[in-house]
Amino acid sequence: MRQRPSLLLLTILGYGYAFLYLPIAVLVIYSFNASPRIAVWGGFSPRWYAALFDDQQIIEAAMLSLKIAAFSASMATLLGLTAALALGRAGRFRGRAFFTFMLGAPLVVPDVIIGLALLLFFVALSRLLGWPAQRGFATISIAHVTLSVAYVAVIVRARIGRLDSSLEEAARDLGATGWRVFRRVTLPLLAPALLSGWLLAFTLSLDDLVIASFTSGPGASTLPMVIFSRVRLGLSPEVNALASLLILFVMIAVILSLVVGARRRGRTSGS
Amino acid sequence: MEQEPAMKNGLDGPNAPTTEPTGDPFLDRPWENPQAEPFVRIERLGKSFDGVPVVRDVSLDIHRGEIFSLLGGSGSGKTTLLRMLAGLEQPDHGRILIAGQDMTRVPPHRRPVNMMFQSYALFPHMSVAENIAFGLIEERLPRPEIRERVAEALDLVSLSDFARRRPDQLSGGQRQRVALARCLVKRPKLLLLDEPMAALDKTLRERTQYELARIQERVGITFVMVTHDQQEAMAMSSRIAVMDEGRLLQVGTPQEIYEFPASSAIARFVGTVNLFDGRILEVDGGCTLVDVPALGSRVRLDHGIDLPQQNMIRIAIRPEKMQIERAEATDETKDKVNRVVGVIEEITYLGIASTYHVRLSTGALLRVHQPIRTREAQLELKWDDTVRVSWHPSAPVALVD
Amino acid sequence: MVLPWAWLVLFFLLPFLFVLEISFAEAIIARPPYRPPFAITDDGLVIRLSLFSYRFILGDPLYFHAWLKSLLLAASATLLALLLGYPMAWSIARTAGRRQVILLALVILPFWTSFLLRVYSWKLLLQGNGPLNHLLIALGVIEHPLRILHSDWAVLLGLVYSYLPFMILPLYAQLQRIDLTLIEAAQDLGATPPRAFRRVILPLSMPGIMAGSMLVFIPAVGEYVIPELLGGPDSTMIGRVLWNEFFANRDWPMAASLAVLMLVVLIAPLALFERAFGRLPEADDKGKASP
Repeated sequence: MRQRPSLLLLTILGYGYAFLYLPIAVLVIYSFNASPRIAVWGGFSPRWYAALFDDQQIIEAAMLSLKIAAFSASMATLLGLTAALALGRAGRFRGRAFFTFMLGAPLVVPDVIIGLALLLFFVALSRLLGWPAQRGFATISIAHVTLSVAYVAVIVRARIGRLDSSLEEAARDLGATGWRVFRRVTLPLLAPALLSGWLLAFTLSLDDLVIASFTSGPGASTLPMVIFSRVRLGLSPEVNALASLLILFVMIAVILSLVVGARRRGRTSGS
Repeated sequence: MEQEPAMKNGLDGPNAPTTEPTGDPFLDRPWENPQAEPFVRIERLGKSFDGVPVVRDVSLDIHRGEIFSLLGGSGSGKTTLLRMLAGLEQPDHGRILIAGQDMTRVPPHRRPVNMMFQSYALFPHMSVAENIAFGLIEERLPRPEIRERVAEALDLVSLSDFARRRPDQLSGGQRQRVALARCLVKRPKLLLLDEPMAALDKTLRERTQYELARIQERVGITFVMVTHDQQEAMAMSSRIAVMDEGRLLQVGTPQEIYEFPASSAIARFVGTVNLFDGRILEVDGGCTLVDVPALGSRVRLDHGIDLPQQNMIRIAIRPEKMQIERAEATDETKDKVNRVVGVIEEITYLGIASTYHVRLSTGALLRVHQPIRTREAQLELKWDDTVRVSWHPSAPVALVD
Repeated sequence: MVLPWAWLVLFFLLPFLFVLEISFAEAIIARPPYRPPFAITDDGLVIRLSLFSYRFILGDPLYFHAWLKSLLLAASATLLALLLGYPMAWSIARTAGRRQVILLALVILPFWTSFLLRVYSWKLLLQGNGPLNHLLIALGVIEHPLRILHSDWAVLLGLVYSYLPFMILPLYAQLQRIDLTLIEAAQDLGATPPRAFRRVILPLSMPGIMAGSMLVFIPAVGEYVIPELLGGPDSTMIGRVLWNEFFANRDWPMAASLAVLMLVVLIAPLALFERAFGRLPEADDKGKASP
């Protein structure tokens, strides 16, 4: 039972999407601007893409960011899965409300506060224990895990809530023990949620400027930190090129996932 | 479903009904044999959830090769009882013995029992063949044997061509058969079925009931089935246990339950029934005469009763066990035994039969069921016609509530 | 099972205790630049609590101004995002089949691209001699370039733009669940379309409106990147003030006090958020508990 949206609604929808995509389109167009004076169109040129790949600072920062993102996403997925299982399966236990609160809090506390808190903590820790001696990969990763555990847990928890509990009962009934039920039934069924959780955590980490700025030390700059330092006071043609590449990459990934999803649905309904 | 050969070398191995020498008078009805060892023995089983009793002190014997139904409405405790047999719920007290062994504290994965879930619980990430192989892999069987047994099971349920499909690519009936095969391939001693037809549409049910019964006959595995559908229970079961509020109300064959319900609750739950209170006038050998004020007449039963005269009693008469015919308003014979006169208030045409609601002069309403034998028969009686309703002394049943 | 909470206690809860501690410290020129309020010296435990930072923040109209501006901008952004996001979410929810999947993906897609770069793109777009002004002048809408960049208006625009998907997604989730026959029933019972919307659809979409508003408002209050990149020198939102106290002025106790006050201010909407949505997953549990 669906009725077609009215013309007014469709107009708003159109403007809404234009609003969302206009700046991105402009960014992509200007990434091909030959002129170093960014606002002035100086003809088409891919020169900034070439410059981008020669820029050691950006490449190093990108590598560091990817490493941090991969590590923190994996760690957050592991912890998030554990937390979601505890909340979804353990039933009522002491302090459950407190745990739920703790898990949800990083979702809503502003970045600047999380960043500041972790920095002060790391400083105090290094004075007391001598660790971390230097801030960089480890401290940023820890901060990013803290940030994204909640996101993963929420996604996985939602999936657990939708799981048909009779599937696990059937596995037990057919002779599987606790661990085998988890490995052969629960885990495969949670796999899509774990993948989206991991991807989200990866993106959050790759995207974070504020927390990384607080928790990094001298000499360790993530990609957003480098980008920010370049565009804080002005515009940077290389950043335009970088942004365009990133958008292209995300577009391809999303379109691929849509196509795969559509094919899977098509196969299902085709029977 | 032609796969005789599969059966010969496969699934009917250790669980086939022990072919007794002919001449056993209890072959079809082992529950009537006082010497027979029950296959499943449930002893005073009880279970509460959050202090609310769900199963109360249930004792039950189930024999080898039966299709035994637990019949009841929602909240009657039938599903909980089934889940305790599977080991998915722990009873608070009581024992469960299967083939003489105490299974009460045995975890589900070690019980020789498998369950077909109401939702079928097919693993969505596995193909049909992988679903069926699941339990065999857990048994750590060698691969060739698994392959062979899966193929047999697929054959048994006529799904050999669907082995590589995923559950979401199957129809409801096919999914049910996969669920069945996944259980049977384990060669359980006991198969539990939780509302096996609930997920199927109506047209498919009847055929599936027949197929399920045929497969059961072949593999000889004892079935215990939960259902809320009395017709399904009657059609398939060797015996039925009627449950309500966690208690067993009556255990018996479908015929016993229908013809001799133990209480008015059962009589009402299984089929429709006319119920009237009466007073015993005389008990004479094989016959009982009861005065029923609501009918304005007397009812003769062709069986005696263990109650003294003047005792109150409840009479049940099934609507299909009465005759209805046109009568004159003046046709009020004095000797009104097993016969009343009334006016048709409502006619429900059902195709194979009509139900007449007859209002008596006492104000009572009688439901009478008449098969329609000819196309015109249904037209003979109309609204507001005066009719005579009568029945044979074998029709009414006395209930002691 | 204990692991995730051990992690959160260690790397989330504990750090906040340090923030609280340092917010009572005295700023000094040293490394680190504060005098610990609790110190163990030869004289035993020495406690030196300083309320200086709090007093300074609460007494200085500049900070008050920053608070006001943060809340005002965040609230305006929330309202604008709701006004734009609601009809969008409604249209998406009422679109059929595959087209709905695509429309939804288009809302989520910007979220996967870099937030920082998307904010930056507005900087490019809004420049005095940038594409937007060129276009508007060419169309004859304006004669002189608009000076939007480096103003509160640009910050507002950036906030709405960045957080719009956070408004649309929960709204969509809620609106999609509404049975359209309810509108027909309302109209059948004599309600005009606007009244049917106000009396039936709006109350039913309230959880989505609340969720979306919280998801926009709370992070918007603490926003740093948007006012820094798009705002002018007077676009002093509180997150930016905290950042500057910390990085530019190296006044750690001041930054810590600001963080503590910010949490206190945000606790009210947080509690609201918790009440509206904290219980939802728990309710799911109970529905599934008994067989």
